[in-house]
Amino acid sequence: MSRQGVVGMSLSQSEVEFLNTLDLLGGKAVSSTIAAKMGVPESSIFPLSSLLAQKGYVKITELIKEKFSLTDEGCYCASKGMPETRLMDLLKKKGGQVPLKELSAVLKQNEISPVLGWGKKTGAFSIEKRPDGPYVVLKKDVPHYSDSLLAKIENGSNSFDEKEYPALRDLISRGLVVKKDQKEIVVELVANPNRDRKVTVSVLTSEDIKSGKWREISLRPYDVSAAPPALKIGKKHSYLEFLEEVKEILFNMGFEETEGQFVETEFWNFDVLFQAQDHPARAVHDSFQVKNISLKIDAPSELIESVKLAHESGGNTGSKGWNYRWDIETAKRPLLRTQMTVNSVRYLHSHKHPPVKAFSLSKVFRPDVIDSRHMVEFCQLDGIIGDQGITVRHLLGILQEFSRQLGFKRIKFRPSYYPFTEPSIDAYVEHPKLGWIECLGAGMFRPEVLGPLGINFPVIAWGIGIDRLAMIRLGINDIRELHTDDLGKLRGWGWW
Amino acid sequence: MPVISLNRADLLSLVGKELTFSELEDLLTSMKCELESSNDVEIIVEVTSDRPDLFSAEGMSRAIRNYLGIGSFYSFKKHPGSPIELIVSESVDTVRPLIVASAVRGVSLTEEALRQLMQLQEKLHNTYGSNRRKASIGVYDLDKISPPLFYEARLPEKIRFMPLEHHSELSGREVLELTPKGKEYGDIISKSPLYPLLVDSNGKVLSMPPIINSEDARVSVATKNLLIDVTGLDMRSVGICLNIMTTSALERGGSLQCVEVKCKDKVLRTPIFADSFQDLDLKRAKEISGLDLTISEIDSLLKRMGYETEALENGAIRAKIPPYRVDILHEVDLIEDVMMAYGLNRVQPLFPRVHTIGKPLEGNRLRARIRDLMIGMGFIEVATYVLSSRDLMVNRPMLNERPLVEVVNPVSSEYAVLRDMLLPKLLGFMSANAHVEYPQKIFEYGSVVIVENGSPKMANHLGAVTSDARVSFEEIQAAAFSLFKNLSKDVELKRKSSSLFIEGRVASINVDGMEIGILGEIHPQILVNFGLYNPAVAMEVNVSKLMNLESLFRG
Repeated sequence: MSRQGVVGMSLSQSEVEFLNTLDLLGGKAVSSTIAAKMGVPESSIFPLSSLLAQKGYVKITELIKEKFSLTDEGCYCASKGMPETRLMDLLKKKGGQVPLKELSAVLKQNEISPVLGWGKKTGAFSIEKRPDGPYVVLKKDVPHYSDSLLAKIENGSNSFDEKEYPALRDLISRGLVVKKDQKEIVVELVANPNRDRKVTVSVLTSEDIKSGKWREISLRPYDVSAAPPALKIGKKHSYLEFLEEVKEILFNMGFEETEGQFVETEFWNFDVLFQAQDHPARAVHDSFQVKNISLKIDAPSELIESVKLAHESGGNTGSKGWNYRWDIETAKRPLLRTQMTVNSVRYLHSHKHPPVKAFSLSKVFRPDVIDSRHMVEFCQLDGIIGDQGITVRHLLGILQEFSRQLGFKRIKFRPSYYPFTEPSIDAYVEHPKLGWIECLGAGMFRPEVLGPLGINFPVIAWGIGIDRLAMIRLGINDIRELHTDDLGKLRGWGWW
Repeated sequence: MPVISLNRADLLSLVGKELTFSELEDLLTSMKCELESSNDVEIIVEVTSDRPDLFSAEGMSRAIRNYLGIGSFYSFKKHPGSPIELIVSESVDTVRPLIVASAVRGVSLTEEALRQLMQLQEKLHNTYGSNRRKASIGVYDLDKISPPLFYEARLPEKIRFMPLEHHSELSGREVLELTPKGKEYGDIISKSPLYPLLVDSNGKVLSMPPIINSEDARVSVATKNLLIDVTGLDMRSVGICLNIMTTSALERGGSLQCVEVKCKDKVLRTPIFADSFQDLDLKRAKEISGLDLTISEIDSLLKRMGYETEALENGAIRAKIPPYRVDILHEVDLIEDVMMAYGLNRVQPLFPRVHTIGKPLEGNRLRARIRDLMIGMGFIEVATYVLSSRDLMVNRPMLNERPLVEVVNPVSSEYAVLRDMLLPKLLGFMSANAHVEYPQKIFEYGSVVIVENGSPKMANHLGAVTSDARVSFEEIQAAAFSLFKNLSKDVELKRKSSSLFIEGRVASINVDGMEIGILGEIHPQILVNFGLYNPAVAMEVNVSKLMNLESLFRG
């Protein structure tokens, strides 16, 4: 597709007119001539021709020209006549003689003595002493060009004959005329067939397109490297988008997403997970207790009973149990869930047939001291896989594959402790810049957890402090920035 | 999880073997420890709360020795003398009924050994002792005490002794009021008319549990014979604390002398190092670990974890549980130890071939569509916390007092209730950005918790606000109409009243004959309350009520 004529050397409407005028003047003219022809002040010709010269359309030659003009005195003489003319006219009118004291009728005081000098020099008149005073007496008529010269200068002419020069010098010496050097330019078209003379405009209008005028105009090029204004665009939150990416990985790996409630009973949050009611992690200062609400334990009585037995004596799970009196009142207490494993065990309770693969990813709440690494509300991911024949090797396998999907090439493990899993494992993944990052906690659910739920196949569970990875992903060092209240930061937040 | 400090030289001397930095660090990691920092002198590790025996250098070195195969099965020397008598008065029943004790004779203590003992005591207090409420530990120089000992409860004014680090005698009440420990732990006993007290046969006060020991029986590096007592409310907790303290002290040399605790109706000889066993089935070990192990391999792995073993018939092994291991409830606990000894990083990961269908949560699709539409209309997504302040949810938006899920023990009043709507959160967000360039168009899609008839109900809400030097009701109205049109829903607006909005410029949003939200122009008084000086229009929708849109092919 031809784009000819759309983009070209930038020419304004007046520049095009200038070039057309120069054509009419034979391709070369002085500024004053061009100005006269275009009907614009000569002063506007200089910037126009200079721009066109920069663009390579014309060549400029400078001329220095003498410019003569009248002084105030000169203007006076141009309208009243030269002093000598006025005196000669007076003499002729008065019969050839006039008393000296009457000269002031036609001459100003400062004109009198130069005129008398001129008369004496040229012999046009003489001064004669008479009893009633001196008289100016006409002797002969001496021609002079000064009046016509003044008229010529007043009319703006600047070219003079050779013979006019002595008189011109005389007028200058008498302070009636001043001479100034004036610059003038000669503009000459440069022959260049590659340059067209389309008008350049900055905005292409709908009218231009409809009328076909776009073919005659040229669009001004922009400084393409200049920074544009920042757009206030609508966009998704980068942290939430990261969580979506993680979920997508899990969907692709065959996991079903589950969700629970922020407000849980201690029964589901702790007891089902075999955390003894006197377990250090169950102390009031490690979870948010809530008030103003009443919650029933939403579990069948058989489950409640077998959880109680698992705690007290192990029940039929093969465990010794924690060997204490389990208290249902403690189990009833409402709290904000402290981990996402609670959703996994709820899911297991309603999915008793293998295989199961589920995850949940949402907010948990813990009364930590708030600092750059701890927030009282944060996201956690918990995943489970249950099937006959599942082993710790599979647990390591899923951790390895999940971390690969997240982009980490290497993983290493160490034994750890979670009250509801045994064996329990923590995993570190290797970040190219930050080194080993501990971020995964995992294990196989204890028989004391699975037994009461009625699950008779092994289940591996793993959790991830996803906010830690989100911080790395987003390049921030303060966990609170994941929920930043800085709109400027959100507007500027890059992704990748 | 407890964080403990170890002295490298002390630990290595207890291990009895030179180890390089990386060897030692690998060993600690194999013991579930997370290394926090390490230099020539000090190693700081986070230990796990299931292993109180690793809360100090003594137990840690024992585990390392076993792991390296330079230890032997757990054993200790018994002191030939008869047990020390401790007579318990019934008066303690109502305040702090339980006491157990032990004596370790002939220990050699260094400054570091004392530091480890104190650290162990503190970590046990914080975990198994529930900050001294359930169990608290006292350690004394036995040579400064004349048995038999008496554990009784007395009126506070009948108590006088010189507490540790104090230079004058105080009464029981003064101990609570004047000493730092008294102020910290006083409420455990202050409501009781009688305070518990441990004294010797001369009436010398050993301690006022669980607050403080007496200066009179203070332990120093010169101490040769130790008395350890644990008082408390729960037999299991006091037993664990005594066993851990005693077995750790025994690692510093010396022999165990029991204490006979004589209550009204029974006599208890402590510490109770009862023989305890756990059987492990080979088949089960293979099923869980995924490792193809033989009986003899498992046997030697268990030995490296400090268990004395015995082969049973039918491919099972019986492990004797040492008195310091309080975490063995089930054979899976032994299997974990087997895998720790084997080395987790030697285990080949195996990707589980479990074929299932990945499935998003109900509502994900609708959520994705709504977020896309909102950003298409130029709104930028924000993420505010679910936890809020009552001031933000009720006072500043001048909304009615209403039941909210409220935290009993908030860390800060900023995070004390769960939000039940989004608009106050969004106005709060805008108030932090009053000087950021306008126009501002923000939205959030998130969970709220509404209290209905006393029970919490979670719902997904959409909130959106547009603010600029000039805004019109029409702008938010148009956004709502566009949103629902693109969800194939007709929307009907009906006049409504709300303190959040200007009267006459607020409407309910109705879809399918259901009221699902509200929109309007924010009342200027509310704007001022939030420090906002540009007008704003806003909407909030309960998306959970639209959930029937989720199915791809609905009727």
